[in-house]
Amino acid sequence: MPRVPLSLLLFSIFNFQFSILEAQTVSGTVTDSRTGETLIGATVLETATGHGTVTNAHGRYSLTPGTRAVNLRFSYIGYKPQVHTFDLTTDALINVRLEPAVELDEVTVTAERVALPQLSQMSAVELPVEQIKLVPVLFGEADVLKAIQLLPGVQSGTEGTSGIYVRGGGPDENLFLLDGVPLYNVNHLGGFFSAFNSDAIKNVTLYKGSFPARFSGRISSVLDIATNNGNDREWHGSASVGAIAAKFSIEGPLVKERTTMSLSLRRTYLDLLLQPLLLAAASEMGGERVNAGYYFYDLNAKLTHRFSDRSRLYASLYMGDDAVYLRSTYRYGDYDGYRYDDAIKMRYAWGNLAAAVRWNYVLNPQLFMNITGAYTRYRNRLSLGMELDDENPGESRHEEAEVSFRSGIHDFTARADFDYAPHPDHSIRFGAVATNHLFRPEVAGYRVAGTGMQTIDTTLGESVVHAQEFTLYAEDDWTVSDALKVNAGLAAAAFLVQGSFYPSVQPRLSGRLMLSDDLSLKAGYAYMTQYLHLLSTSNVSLPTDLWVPVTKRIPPMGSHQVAAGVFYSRWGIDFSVEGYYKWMHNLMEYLPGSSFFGSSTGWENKVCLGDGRAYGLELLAQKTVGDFTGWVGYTLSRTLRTFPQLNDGREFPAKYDRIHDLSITVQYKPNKRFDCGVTWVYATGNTATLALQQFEGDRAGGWNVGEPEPEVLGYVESRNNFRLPAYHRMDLSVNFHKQKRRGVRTWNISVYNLYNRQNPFFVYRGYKEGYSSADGGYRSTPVLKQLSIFPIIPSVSYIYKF
Amino acid sequence: MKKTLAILAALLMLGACTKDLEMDFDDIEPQVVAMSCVEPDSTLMLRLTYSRFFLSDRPFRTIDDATASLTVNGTVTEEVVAAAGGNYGFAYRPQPGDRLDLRVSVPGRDAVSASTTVPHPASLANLRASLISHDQYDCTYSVRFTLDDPADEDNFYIIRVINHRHYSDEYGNHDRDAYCRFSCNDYLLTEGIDLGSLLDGDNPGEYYGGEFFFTDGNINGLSHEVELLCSTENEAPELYLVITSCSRDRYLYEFSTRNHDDDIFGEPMQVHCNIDGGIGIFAARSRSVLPIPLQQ
Repeated sequence: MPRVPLSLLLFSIFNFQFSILEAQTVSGTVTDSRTGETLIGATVLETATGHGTVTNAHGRYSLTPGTRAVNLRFSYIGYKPQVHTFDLTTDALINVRLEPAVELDEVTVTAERVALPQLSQMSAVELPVEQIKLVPVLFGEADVLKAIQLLPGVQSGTEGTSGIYVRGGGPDENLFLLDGVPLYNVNHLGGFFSAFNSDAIKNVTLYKGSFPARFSGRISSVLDIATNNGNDREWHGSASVGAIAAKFSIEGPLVKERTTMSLSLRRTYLDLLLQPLLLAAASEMGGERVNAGYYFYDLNAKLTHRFSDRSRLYASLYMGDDAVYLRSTYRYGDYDGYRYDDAIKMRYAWGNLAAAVRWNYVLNPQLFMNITGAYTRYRNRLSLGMELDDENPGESRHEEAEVSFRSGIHDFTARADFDYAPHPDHSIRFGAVATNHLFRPEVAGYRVAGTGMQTIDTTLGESVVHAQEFTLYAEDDWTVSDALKVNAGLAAAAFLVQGSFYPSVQPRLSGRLMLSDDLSLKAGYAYMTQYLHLLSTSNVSLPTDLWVPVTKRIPPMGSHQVAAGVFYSRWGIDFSVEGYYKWMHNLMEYLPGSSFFGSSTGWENKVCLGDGRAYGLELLAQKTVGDFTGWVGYTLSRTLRTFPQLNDGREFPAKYDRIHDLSITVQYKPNKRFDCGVTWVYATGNTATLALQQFEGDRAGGWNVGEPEPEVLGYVESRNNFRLPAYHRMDLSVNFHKQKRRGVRTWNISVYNLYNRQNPFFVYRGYKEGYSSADGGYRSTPVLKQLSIFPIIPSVSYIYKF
Repeated sequence: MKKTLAILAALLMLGACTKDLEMDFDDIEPQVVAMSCVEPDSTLMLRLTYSRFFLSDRPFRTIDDATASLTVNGTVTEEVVAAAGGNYGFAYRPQPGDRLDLRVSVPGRDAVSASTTVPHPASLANLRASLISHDQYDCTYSVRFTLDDPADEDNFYIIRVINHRHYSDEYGNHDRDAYCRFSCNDYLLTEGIDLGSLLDGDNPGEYYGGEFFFTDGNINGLSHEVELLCSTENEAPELYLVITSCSRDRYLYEFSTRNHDDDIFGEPMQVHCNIDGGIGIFAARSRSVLPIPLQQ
């Protein structure tokens, strides 16, 4: 009996192998005809059989059409499609250069596009960079994360900041990949700007769920950002001056069509603008001199070399640093040789560095390999100090003291990724990642020195924690039939830290069922594990937020997420409705009363672990081609937390639990000389913890020796018990372009918060003072006050592209 | 002048961003507030009031018509009916180890209740002090003692040091008590380095202040030598060590009242309450006040 099924099995395998061997493969790279930039996600479709694929992160495709007479159609949003017809008798290499559609006509050309229902991936959104640049934002500074915040399922954090909260996750649960290299702190200026310079970016894809197995390490989202390789034919660049920052970028061939480079720089000049105000303040204040400022800069550089059609090398570098500094000196006297200077100083600096070398190699037409070696560093340093100079005739004294706090994380990563297309119906990816983490969680320094004093120079907590993380993954994008497509994968991860070993097996599954040419159903499940925690208070997001690994006492975070949706395309608009439910465990919060300033080697004692759940419904209507583009996104969701040590163990809403979240983004580009964008957002207010009742308590101790004394205390019934007023605002951006002799100049006028809505930043109990209209008496009445930080903010930028 | 106007304009822009918030709050019913600090060998006092809405500035209303009953070790011991000014006094003097149950009935409302167990005083031995530095104005003493922590139970402690001073002036002789600041460099008790102390300019790795809260998490069941460095004025100091052994609820209440509004960067501290159905604290503590023998 067993022989029959065994024979059948062997026959099936042989038949499958034979069909693979028999089929020929066409492969190659899809690039922009003008710049030579590789196009990510371009569609390659054999029109007769319906077999197709999309280009990977390196612009590569590999397709085994399963037919001899091939009619291959290449298309990409914003580009004119190309059709290549040929006989496929042996493996073929077809490199395609697509022409940008808008370059062909003065009027808009409706470009070929792949409708959302046809893609097998769900819970993923790809935003064209040109569309991101048209989204109006604060100070006119185009920002990837601010555009991402407008998508359904993504909540923004505190107003103006670029923190993202995806489907109920925290800000530390997002994996930010810049050319495949993870970045830890992606914020400048406390989060008001992201670390991603839009001039350096080529492609942005956000995964909110149904994560492919190749992504792991964070439990809530993956933001995959690819940067420009650089034009391989001509030198081009741009320079811009905005309200707070200046940018410069240049790209071009070092060796034509072989070696390219791309360089982008950005720096703020708020510190320079502040100097006249500080000088004015100093002259008003007499003896006090103040030197203070803030700046950030970032640099993106990339070098690409093409050895052959089969082999390419990429070297990329990202550097970004922020610094805020203050030095205030007060001179008490300067006469007859007497002088007394008292100075306080503070400097706070933080930043990322990410460097990577990648080598692409086509092993054979069906098998593509990418090898990456990367180094990532995030560090911050805070120092506070004072100096005292006392000069008398015949005697002088100098004293100084400084406390400092610094932390950092260094990652060394090696990874190998393979794309394998053995059969028309299978597109397989597999690979391995190994990362050596080096944490220097907290180092505190204390230094005192002075004339006649014994110098104290102490460093505490200079301990390094090594951890190793390994991941193996495999996924298969399997076309089961014309209607049904399945992506099944598995990631196996392990984390080794201080003798503790945490393995994790993470299954991923998603599927698409086409109901008609423009209507499909999709569903997916993903389990994700995260081995790093961010120590952060819930009130503010600061660069002192500390990344720490799991420990014996603090296990990894995890999340299970199921999602399902309907996708429909009509009139060039993609419509989608997605529902999701997410369970999260081992989430971390500070214990009440604890804060980052109390955190140090005992941080494990100051945090507690709990669970979370989030569920919601997301609606998206997106139009990416035509004069009018944009999207409408709406999310109905809840995000809840349960921590045994918080809120008496009762479930409470998360800080950014917003029930309704609506964003409308419209962009209009009628011609090459003018375009504009309008955004309107509305969201249920954030939650806050507020003592809505007061009671007469008592207070013993303190500085009151004796019996406890009555004291008015606030009573908080439950955590996050108060909801701030709804948030809404409208932003506008207008661009005027003009062709000049050597390039194109653009004037950008942006208005943030067009109708000057005073959205709450936080609320507090204050007093309203004034004379009563009833009896004319002076009254001081308790009221609830709110602080808003961004009124209407117009800004102008000048951009010159050459 | 132009510069001044520029600064004023900038400040005005910032100031304009604050506004009073008109919000409809759901009806917030005042709750019964019961406050009692139970101490051994002291008559037990209970204060009953109503809570108020947080935007009200009226005085707290006292509850004068309640019935409060006290159960000691499972036996109803005493009942107090109605008290002017909201102050209810029980004749019973609790003893260490007593378990007390309180039940308060206020007409027209559901009863509220709470329980506590009176802790034993902390067991201290070998209290001594030595002068380690002094100058014209100040001196620093090393105060040492052995704390015998009972095994198999959670214990909660608060240490304070009181400086008792006698002084005379043209108005006569006076006595004055003041808490004395001290530091404690004991990682078993402080559970790590406190960067807050560091930023205050204190020595890192130490507790420094006037009230030291700690638990027996790292010293459970041990005889542990504790050292405090007390700095005081160099004028015939008379120091007393006050060590309070608290029930868990009392410890959390006192800890939360110290910290609930201190740090704008921290998650707000909820004041710990243990009144079931109401607000407030009914919890016990045992204080030991010991004179510190000082070398002059």
